[in-house]
Amino acid sequence: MLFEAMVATAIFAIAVIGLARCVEAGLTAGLAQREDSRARRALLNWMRELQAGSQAYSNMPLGFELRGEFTGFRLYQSVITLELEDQNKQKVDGILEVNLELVWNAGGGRGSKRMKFYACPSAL
Amino acid sequence: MRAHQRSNRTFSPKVDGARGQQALGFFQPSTLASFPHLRAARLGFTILEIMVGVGVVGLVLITMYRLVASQLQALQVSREAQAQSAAMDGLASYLQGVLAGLPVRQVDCLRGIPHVFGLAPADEIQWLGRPGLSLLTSAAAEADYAVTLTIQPSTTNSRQQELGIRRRLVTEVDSAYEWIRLMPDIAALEFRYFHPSIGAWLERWDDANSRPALVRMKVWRRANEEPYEVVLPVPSHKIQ
Repeated sequence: MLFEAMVATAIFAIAVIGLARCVEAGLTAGLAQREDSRARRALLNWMRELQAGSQAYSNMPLGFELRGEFTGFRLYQSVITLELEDQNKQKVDGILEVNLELVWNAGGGRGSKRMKFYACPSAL
Repeated sequence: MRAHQRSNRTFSPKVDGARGQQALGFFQPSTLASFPHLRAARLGFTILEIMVGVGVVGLVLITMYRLVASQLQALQVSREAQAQSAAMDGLASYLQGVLAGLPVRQVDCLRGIPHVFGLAPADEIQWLGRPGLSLLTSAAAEADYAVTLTIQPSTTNSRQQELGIRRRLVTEVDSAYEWIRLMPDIAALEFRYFHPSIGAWLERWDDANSRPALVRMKVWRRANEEPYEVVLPVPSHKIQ
């Protein structure tokens, strides 16, 4: 009788622990989603600053730490000058390909988010 | 006595002597029939076994309760954080919509005024608008309105501040505004304006003939926390 009660309790405990792990996984997923949303906003902010001329289009291979709300994120920026031609085979100058990468530590792992866009700073 | 005889027909424990019969007398025969191995000397649990069993079950239940309670608390915190984040994103979308919808040809349609309330920034951004998104209603009379996004104390003499918009007809005096609360419990609000010609961020915008290229908004829920930060473009700054 005691043995049966203990087995039943153990099964119940395993079920509850399983449920708790599910909730924990859900919370971790929610946290990851928030981090992802924050990273997207940090990249959007940076892209808008670049487009408005508040930041320079320069290569930053070593990256730098963001501050404020985005503390913990490291931003890498690379700028490639594109060599394009129009339909008349005339060179089109001044178009840049900008690659932004944001890297952060997420729950023992490494989170990252990338954004690529094209810019024409001479049109500012 | 008749009942005892009937029970003996269904179960006949092999016990020796009158003392054995007496010891089995309080057991229901049907119960004992299920446990043939208990027909011998041992017929139940000791009080120590029951106490240990109940103790183990109790410990397991307490641990599970704590686990579930902490998970529920974490779930609640996560839900609140998500709601706050969604509210901030909604505010940013609203301001983005307002900045995108600024009348192209109108002068002096955007102003930024810095303020400090209790050592924390409590800035204002003011724009001219018509009924629609910028007023948060399309039911108002068709006219020009001055709308100000800012924070102010929830009640008179209150330390709690709330974020909202003040809206009034341009022709009315400053104090004749209607307050629309958008978010409760806001500690501070800061706006900065990027001037494309100067190439610098300004804390005040009072240039009637031009518009900033960017508006940066920071909202603090609590003074000791990092603010929500968003940079919003002003599309019409080039068309002037």
